[in-house]
Amino acid sequence: MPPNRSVLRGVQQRIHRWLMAARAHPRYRIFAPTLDALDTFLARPGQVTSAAPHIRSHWDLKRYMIIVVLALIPCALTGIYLYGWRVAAVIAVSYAFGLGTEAAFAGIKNESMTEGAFVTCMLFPLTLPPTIPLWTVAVGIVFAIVFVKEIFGGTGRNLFNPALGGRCFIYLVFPQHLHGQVWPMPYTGGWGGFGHWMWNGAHRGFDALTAATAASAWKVAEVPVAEFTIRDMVLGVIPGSIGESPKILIVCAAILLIGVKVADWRLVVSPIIGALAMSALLHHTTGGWAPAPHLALVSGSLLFGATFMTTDPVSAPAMAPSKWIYGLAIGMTAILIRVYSTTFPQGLMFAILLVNPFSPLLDYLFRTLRFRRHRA
Amino acid sequence: MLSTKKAFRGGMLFGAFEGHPAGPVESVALPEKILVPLQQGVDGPVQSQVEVHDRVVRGQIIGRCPADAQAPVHSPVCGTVEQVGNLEGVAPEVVCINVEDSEDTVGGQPLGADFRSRPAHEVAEVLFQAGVASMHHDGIPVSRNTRGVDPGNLDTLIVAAMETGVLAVSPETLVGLRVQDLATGIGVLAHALQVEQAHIAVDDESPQFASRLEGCLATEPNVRIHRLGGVYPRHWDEPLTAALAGRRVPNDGRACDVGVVCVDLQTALAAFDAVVRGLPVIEQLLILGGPGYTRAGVVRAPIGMRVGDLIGPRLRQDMEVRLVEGGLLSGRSLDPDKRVVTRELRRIDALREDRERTLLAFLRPGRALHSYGRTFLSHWRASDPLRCDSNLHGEKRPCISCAACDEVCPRELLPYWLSRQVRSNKAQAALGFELHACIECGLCSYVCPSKIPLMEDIQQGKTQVATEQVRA
Repeated sequence: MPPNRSVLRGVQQRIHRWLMAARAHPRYRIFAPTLDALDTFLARPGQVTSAAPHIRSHWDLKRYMIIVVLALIPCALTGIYLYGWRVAAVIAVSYAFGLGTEAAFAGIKNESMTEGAFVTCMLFPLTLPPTIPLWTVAVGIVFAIVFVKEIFGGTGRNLFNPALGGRCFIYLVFPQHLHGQVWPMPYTGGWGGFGHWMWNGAHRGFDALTAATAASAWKVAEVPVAEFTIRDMVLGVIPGSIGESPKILIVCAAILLIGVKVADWRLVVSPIIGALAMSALLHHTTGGWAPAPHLALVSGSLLFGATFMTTDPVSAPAMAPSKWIYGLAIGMTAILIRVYSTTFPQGLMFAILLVNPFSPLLDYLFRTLRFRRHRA
Repeated sequence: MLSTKKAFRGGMLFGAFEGHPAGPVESVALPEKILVPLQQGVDGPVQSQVEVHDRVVRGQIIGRCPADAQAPVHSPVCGTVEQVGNLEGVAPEVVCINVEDSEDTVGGQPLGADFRSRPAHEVAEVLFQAGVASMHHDGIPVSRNTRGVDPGNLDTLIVAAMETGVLAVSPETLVGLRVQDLATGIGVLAHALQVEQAHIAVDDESPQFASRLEGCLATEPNVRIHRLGGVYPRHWDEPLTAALAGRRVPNDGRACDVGVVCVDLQTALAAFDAVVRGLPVIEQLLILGGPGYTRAGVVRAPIGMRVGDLIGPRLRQDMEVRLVEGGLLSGRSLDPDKRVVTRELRRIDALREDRERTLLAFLRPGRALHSYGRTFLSHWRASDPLRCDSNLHGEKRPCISCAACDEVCPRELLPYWLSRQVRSNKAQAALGFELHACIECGLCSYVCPSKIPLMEDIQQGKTQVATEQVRA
């Protein structure tokens, strides 16, 4: 046995002993879920099936969630490249406070910690502007875990997407940190942000540039589109949230997630179709005032949201026809908000949160239809 | 040709697992003692026709129903009756025979190859007396036991000449050189049941077998062969009846309730043996698959042989093994000392009991790990035989509504929803979502990434509804 493996085994066995001790002692029971999470992270449980089916798929939630985190890592690395090492600190704060909150709740409820938090803690910082104060990150992720997930009953019962719920909270409560002059130009060329802590040059905010580009009321994360070429947008060298910029990497992640069946292709494709259709409609009816559909696709967070946010299985509906309606509604609402709202240009976040609570209703509808058809 | 995409819903295709059964059919050495249960297959118990110390001959009837409503039971060997009664917990009524080394055989009068010249009821009677009628899980409604079905309503015969699922064996292995016998056996069943048409479902992985069978059946006008992908559970009665006969098996009902008789390969071969060669059902082909065997394969074993005697020499001693009858996905575990070979036993799988705590299991590339999600290499690159063990491979978690169970369900049910209803004690509400349409194939539990025992929940819901009905 290679030494690193035996070291790992030793650590796991030590944690397992602590876990047993914590479970036995009422005073330390609150730490049991945390120790259990560490123990099962290091080694899968030895539990066997008790009845048919005697054999089970190797697919579990750890695998499911780790794939999403893996798909997000290139986006996070690009975030560091574009905006400096501070991005890593933002992600680290998100994990520290998010997992801490999750562990505290699991300890109080005496239930297992679930793997979904790993994805939430990664997704949340990637939707924030690079200049976000670290304490805001902590407030947001704690809100996301407590008020968007655990209040509803924990994993599997939350009505809203936790990462977006948390972001929405800090967006409305601390608008100064997510609004206006917070979107720096990214580093490009050479080592980029890998050589810096954070951008300290001029910020290119919405307010500063409104007058110059009044003809185009179109905004990407509050920065006018007319400033940038399509190529810049595709490569992601435009101001934006930490993780949403590299469109090519996001498309690769989407292909990966759909290919391995972690994301449902309907949930990825339908918001994009909805957004394209709505912006085509608005573009033509407003005589070109609203931006063209291709700009809607490559600017802003549409691809990121369609890949990682709408595909969250808990807040999305479960039945195929409801998924289509859900996704189309999100895409269309996002464009409507983007084009017509002057105060809240970040349409996708609101669109997803608006459509989230409809998913149980959509499922109810199509469930009823399916079984009515069966009986007929 | 049938469009399988439209005809079937859901299901799952399994690759080769470790301990995949293959190779020619082997014979086993006769044990010293044989324990023949007097209740076998789908039929009710029969009364012993022999006394202790009687000498019996292979093929002789040793158990018969006084009213002749249940198929008789035959002695699979020559020997002396040692005991009759409840022996060693095998079954309530068992005839224990000390085996002699003799090949004497008595049987019915064979009708020979021109069975078609005989009236159908005569052929049906031969099938009944030979025990073929009780072989399949719903039985064959012939002769003295029509199983509550009006024989005039039966118009379709479906032969599942394929197996699907984990450790499924190819029809070539089971049938071997007996393709002509199989074709004749199908003809026998079609004639005895007086059906208008017969459908044969063949795995499209076995094109040679299909074309040989097609050649043998060329003269039969009303027989159609369908090549289907080996997606589990396509060879079950309900999906085949829906796809090939276009009828839905009623919830909690049988295929013969809608005029369809479904049989498997072994039943068709047994029909040939009974009618053409005059041999009753005294042997079974048993599939032995799984990593727990030193040599997986197919054996021909006499009925009444204790499973422990049969598989004992083949079991691996270096691992903990769980024995399962009826398939790993839907079957139940068995005790080799208390189970004997009977008419309905088709396979005994030896599963590795795996309690090992593998380090960082969720990070493995998974060249040999099977899953519904495609996150393991095994899906993209077929190389090693897939691992076959009893571990849950994950922690139990709440449902995240990923709908994987819905996608694989062959009955278009919503297993996660049914499970939720049953767990919140609303089994009656689950009835509105076709709780009773579940055929218990086990795929929903197999795929669930949250390791929820969905099928167990559904079974429990059925029990709950039944007890509530009894109380009302």
